[in-house]
Amino acid sequence: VGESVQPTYRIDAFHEGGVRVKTTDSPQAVNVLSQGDVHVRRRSLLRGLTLLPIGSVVVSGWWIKPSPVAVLRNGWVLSKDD
Amino acid sequence: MLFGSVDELVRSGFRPRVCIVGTGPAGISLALRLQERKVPCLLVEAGGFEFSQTSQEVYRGEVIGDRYHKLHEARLRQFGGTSGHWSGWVCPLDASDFEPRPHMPYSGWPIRSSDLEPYSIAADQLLQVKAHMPDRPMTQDIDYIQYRFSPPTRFGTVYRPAVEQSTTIGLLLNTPVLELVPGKGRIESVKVLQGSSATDIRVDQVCVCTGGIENSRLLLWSNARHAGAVVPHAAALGRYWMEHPVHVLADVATLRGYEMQFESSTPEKWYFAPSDRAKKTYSIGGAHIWMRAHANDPSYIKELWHEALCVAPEWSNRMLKRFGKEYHCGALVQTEFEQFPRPENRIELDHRTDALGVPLSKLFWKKADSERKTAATMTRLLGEALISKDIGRLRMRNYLTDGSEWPTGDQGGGWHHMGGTRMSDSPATGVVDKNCKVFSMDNLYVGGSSVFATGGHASPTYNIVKLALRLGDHLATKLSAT
Repeated sequence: VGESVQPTYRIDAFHEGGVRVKTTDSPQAVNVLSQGDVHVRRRSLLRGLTLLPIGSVVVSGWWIKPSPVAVLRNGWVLSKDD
Repeated sequence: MLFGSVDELVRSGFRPRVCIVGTGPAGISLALRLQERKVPCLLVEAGGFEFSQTSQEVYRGEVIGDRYHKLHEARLRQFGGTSGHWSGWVCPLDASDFEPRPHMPYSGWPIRSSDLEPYSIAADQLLQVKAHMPDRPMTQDIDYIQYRFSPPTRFGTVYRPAVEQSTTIGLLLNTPVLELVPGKGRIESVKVLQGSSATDIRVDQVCVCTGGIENSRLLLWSNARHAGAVVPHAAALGRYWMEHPVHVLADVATLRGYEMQFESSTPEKWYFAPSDRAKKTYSIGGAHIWMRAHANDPSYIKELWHEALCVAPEWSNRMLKRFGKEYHCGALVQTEFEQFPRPENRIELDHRTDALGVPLSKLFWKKADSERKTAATMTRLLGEALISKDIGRLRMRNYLTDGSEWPTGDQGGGWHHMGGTRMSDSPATGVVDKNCKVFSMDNLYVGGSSVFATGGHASPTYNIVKLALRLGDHLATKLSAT
């Protein structure tokens, strides 16, 4: 998990498999599950527009399990409806 | 019967069949059980009816590893033992604690929960609590579990009259045991100090009940003095020592008042705990978890809810609209959880000695990745459960996920000293057998939490008492056959 590099991903939606993201320069949806963890930086946790650096990861793979619940990098355990 | 000296004991003609070293919950429970079974016994206590700072000095010891309490403050050298500052938490070990767990090396006891169950009512009475209520599921991964709270029972106060008035329980105070003196495959006598002179008390059966550190220390020292003849199979002696780590796991934005159920002074409370399914599925240990109001810091609650509004706007706004600001609360999520047994966590003898010439304890204690995994996983599971029941939203502490050091500002440990003379089927991994008898010794037994093979999450006292009662029955049956 490093500092932001291009291209970045944006959280697109929560879904049963975890979290969907897509690149800012491509409409193609990318599922981060295949990349491992996603790093969500605290300052970017603003109402559904979370910018993630490439290679960013969800902590400890917890988003990888099929669950509508996620653990953010800053520790919040949240539901997709929150 | 209180004897003023060993000489007085000898002159009295009182002939105890069991010598019990130590008068904490294990020693006194054992003595009371033996009294019921009409087996005369002798309690030998190093301290007096009250502890003294001088006496406590004997309990000093070095701790190497994680930050831990000062050893001479973590227990009491007096009649009644450490029950003198016990906080009264009562809970049985889970049935699953006794089973071998594939994800937990060295787990599994040679007895089962059902072996201790017959002693529940008697233990309840000794600890002055009502009957235990079974767990209730909150979600599939989190249970509500009941903790009962003893007044707490100070064994030295509550049971002093019973011991003093007994005709089958003898008591020697201010009589530290320096070492156990072996014969062939048995203990022949205990060497004690009275005043400035050492003397031997001959024994039939002897049970060491001096606490979760002192049991190891006394046996290690006796073994060293007698070329391994006290604990012939000593591979596990002093090892597999465990605590219940106590840490703040998270902050929780919840509804005002919810956290107060954990702060009440009721004799029973319900806590959160990972279910057996969760422990098995996620390969973690046990725990009990509760909320604790944050001490007088309005900015803490404000900051927490400010962040909740940022990361969980839908939920936070819904709560605000529904209840208004005044109903909101921020609380700490705290836990006391299971430590995996590991041989490297151990008690050794120091090169420094106490005033009696006995080596001081040196405790090597460190939490490992398994503890961090237990703490992090159960926090997540609790977070999911709080979502499921719409009770609140929690924010895990960073140390759980970023690999940083365990926080040093937390309580750290529950003052629960377990292992060191653990129970096992094999002398390769244990010191005592299923009857708390030291392997290959005919008459040497150990009582207390040092025999725990695993610690579960339950506070030890209740389980110490049940094991002591069971040991009392075993000894009574054994002696009735001879």
